[in-house]
Amino acid sequence: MQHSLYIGSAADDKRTAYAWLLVNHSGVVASDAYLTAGERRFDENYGSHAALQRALRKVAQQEGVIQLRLVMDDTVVEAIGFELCDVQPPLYPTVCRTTRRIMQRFDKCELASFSRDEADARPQEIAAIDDAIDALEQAATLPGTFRYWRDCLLRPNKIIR
Amino acid sequence: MPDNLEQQLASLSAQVAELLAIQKSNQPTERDNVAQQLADAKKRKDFSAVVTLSNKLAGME
Repeated sequence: MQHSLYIGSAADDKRTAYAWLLVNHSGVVASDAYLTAGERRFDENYGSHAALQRALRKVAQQEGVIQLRLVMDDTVVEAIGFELCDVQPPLYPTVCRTTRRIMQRFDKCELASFSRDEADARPQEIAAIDDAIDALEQAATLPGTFRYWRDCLLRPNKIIR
Repeated sequence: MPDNLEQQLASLSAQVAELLAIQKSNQPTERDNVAQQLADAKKRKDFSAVVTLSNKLAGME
């Protein structure tokens, strides 16, 4: 079945957030967001690879043969897109190799991009960016701060470090 | 027609055929054109073009 994975990111002065959503003909199938912590907070390359790998693993859990269209926002493209299509050498070769290997789990994995500044952006593209901004805003509130530290300690799969 | 002239004509025809073959082999194929466009897209870091042309090139192989 044809699926599209939209992935976007946003950052403030404290951390970066990555959000993704998986869409097929029936609508949004799955979505999630991750926040960065520690030394990797602003490492866009590592963060983008980690977020994409987690998203791809979730996609792989879908039933049936999956033909995937991976749509990245311009920040993610700048960070890892050119590595994935061999335009520039990978910053972290092992991490990049892992991402490529996970991409091979699918029957087909086609790359595409979108720009956050385009006026004619699709709702899914806006949603990916908006979910990342929302995750950042949530983390800035008092309950969000508690959740963030709880996730750091207890739910490491929600945190990229 | 004298034999000499006939020989010269045959030799000339062969040379022309050879030149045409060389010209044909030097002409860029569609695949070469796409490969060149892909190299240009990579240089200017145009992600959409790189992806499109890579897929096109893969389809030609």
